[in-house]
Parts: sequence; C-alpha cells; structure tokens
Amino acid sequence: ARWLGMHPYLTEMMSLDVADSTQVYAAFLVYLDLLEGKNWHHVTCVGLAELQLVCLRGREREAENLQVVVPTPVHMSFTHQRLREIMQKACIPQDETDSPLSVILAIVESDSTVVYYKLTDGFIMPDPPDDTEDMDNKQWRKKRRKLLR
Amino acid sequence: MIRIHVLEGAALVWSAEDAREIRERFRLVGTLVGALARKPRQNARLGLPLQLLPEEARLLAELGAAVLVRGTETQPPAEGEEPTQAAEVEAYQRELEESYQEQQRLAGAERGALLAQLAERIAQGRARRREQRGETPDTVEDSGLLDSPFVLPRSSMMVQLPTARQRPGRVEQVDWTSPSPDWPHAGRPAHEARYRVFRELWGRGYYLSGGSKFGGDFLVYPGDPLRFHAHYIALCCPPGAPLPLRALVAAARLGTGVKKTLLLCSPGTGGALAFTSLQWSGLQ
Repeated sequence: ARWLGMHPYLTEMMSLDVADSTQVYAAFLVYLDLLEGKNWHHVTCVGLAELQLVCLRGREREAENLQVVVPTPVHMSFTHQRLREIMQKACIPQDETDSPLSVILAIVESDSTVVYYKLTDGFIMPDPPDDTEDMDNKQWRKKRRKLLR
Repeated sequence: MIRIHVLEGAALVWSAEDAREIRERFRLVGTLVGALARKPRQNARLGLPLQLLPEEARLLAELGAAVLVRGTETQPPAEGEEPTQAAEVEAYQRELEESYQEQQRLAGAERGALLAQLAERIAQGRARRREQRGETPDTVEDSGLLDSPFVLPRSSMMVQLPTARQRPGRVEQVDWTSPSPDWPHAGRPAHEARYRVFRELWGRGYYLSGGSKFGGDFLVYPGDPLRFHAHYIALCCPPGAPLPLRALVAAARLGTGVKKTLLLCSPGTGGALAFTSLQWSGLQ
C-alpha cells in the first residue's frame, strides 16, 4: 500500500540506514503493533549498525521497565551465536545488575502477523502448574498471572 | 563395577542392583525397556533391561564406574560342552522336584490348619444336612475329613523364572573412546556436542532424560523425574548452525503449552557453554 510507504515513522527508520528494507519494514510493523495493537505506553526505534538491525525500545505501561524488541522477518535465519550477540549488544543494562540479559524477538510473517518470544540468558524456570482448585476461580487466575509477570 | 552391555549402539543394563546404583548414586535415570516377567502383555510398566542414553553410558565409563561390554557367545556350544549342559539340566530337574515336595508339604500343612480352624462349622453343617435327610448323627465320620491324603497338583505348582542369568555369559570389554559396530558414537560430532551439554547440565545437579517426546534433545528436571515435572527442554545447537525461525517458534510454543522453558544450548567462547531460555512473551 502506497500510503504506508509514506508513513513518516517508516521513513525515519529507513533513514537510519543500518539494515535492509525487509528488516526495516518488519520493524515498522512491530512498531505499529506495539503502539496501536498492544497499547504500549512508549516506543522508539534504535539503529544498531554493528548488528545491521533496527531495534525498538519501549514500555508496556508507564511505570514499567524499558524493554528491547528485536523485529525480524520470518525468513531470516539466526544461529544461536548471533542471537546471543544480539542480546549482548541490543540489551539495555538495567539498574539492578543481577537481572539477566533479555530481549523480545518479534517474528513477522508475510501476512503481517507478529509473534513475540522472550529470549533470556541463562536458566529461567517456567511458571509452575496451576493448582486444580484454583483453575475454577477466574479472579485468582487473573491475579496469579499478573503476579508471575 | 557396573556392566553396560552394548549392542549396535544401544547401552543396556541387565542387573537390578546396577540399575539401582545408577539412579541412586549417579543421578542417571535411563529407561526400562524389557517385558515384566509377571505381566508381559502390556507396556505401562516395563522391566529390565535398563536402556541408557549414549551420553549416560559414556558418563559412567568416564567416571570409571562402569565398563562397556559386548557378548561373545555367537556360536552354539562346542562338542566338549555337552556333558556340562546335561549335568546342569539334571541339577535343574532335581531342584524342581525338591521345590515341588516342599510346596506340597507346606500346602498340606496350611490346608490342615485351615480345616482344623473350620472343623466345628464343618461338623455343624454336616449334622444339619443329616437331620434334613432324616439320618442319625454320626460323630465318628466327621473326623475322617482330616485324614484324606492331600496331593498338590503339578499344574498348581509355583515355578521360579529367573530374571537374571544363572551363570554369566562370555563378554569382552569394549573401548568407549573409539568407534566400533556395537558402540559407534565415539568421535561423532553430534554425539560429542550432545555429550558436552549433557555433562554440563548433569554437573549442575539436574536429572536428565531423553527429550524426543517434546522435540528436544534432553528434558531437564530439578529432581528425580518420579517426583518432579521437567523444567526445561534442552536443544543442542551447534554454534554455526542456522535455526529456522519457524522451527524455533514451534519448539517454543510447544514448550509453553507443556509448561517448560525451551533451553538453547551450545558451546560458547572459551570452552564454556552458553544457555539461552526461550519463552512465550505473554504479550496479549
């Protein structure tokens, strides 16, 4: 769509001139999804020349930490090594130094669907299984999900 | 010394004591793959042998706790061996007969005790029946019940099926450091990479098992798998191998669906191993 190509933010991302057009376009779609679809409070783009990627930084809600989102078209392939390189170079050092390196990988399909997966250095335990009694209580499940975030 | 029998790349432990030691002392789980002698036609509960992952067998060999062996009895017994076999058969028949006599004696004694216990009720029942038939009660006949000879039918006899071999078969040791038909893993890059990851995770205190049910290399448990669910599905990625994103999404989604974190493992810089956790972001 031509009007999309004229979107000022897309032109801004292109002008960073660090990545190829497919990656920039993917980054733009993720930008729109985070702001308009997921209602993130705040999103900006960052060009990482070393990695040849445009990344996004934003906050889900006003009071939350800044998160790094790495958009990528689905056909791009990564080695584990490259993923770790991206984590090291794109990540924002948090105030609490003991929190591990973490980024969100945003994978964009050709039909513009985006799936988000979190990559973290080290061993992150999964959420514990829900107690069968608590499954009936909708309020409890909501609270628990918020608590474990 | 634990004996691991290798056959075309599979590592098997036939001794129950060894299997127990492997789990209790070395924190290695393996999989039982044999039919249970008492319940053969089901596979919900299986018995010996315990099959070990190639990584588990290698770890035990490396620690010096086990030797890899292969059986060498491929020929039928030679001429001179026949007499010893006949002697063994005779000994076995003798044992069977002794067991039968013992069982008969014990069964007879038990039957006698039971009858003695119920003697009064039996007598009462007989008296009642005689009354109904209009005969006079005869107390002498009642005691005859206990004198009838008891014979245990041969078909009711219990026979022991040994689940361990009576005499050790001939085996020869196998060198786990060099590839051979029965142990082909040594030196294979895929095996070496998996082993490095296995050894590291085991060294950190985890219990590990095969991960093929969840599309991974290993399942990583915080404790014995009988007591805990696995926390991680470990995927060994060679450092330069590209990971197609669709495969990554499929693996990560499966992990989320079964409440496990996907763990990407590969050799990192300077001999250490790099671990990356992959989880669904939870973004609604």
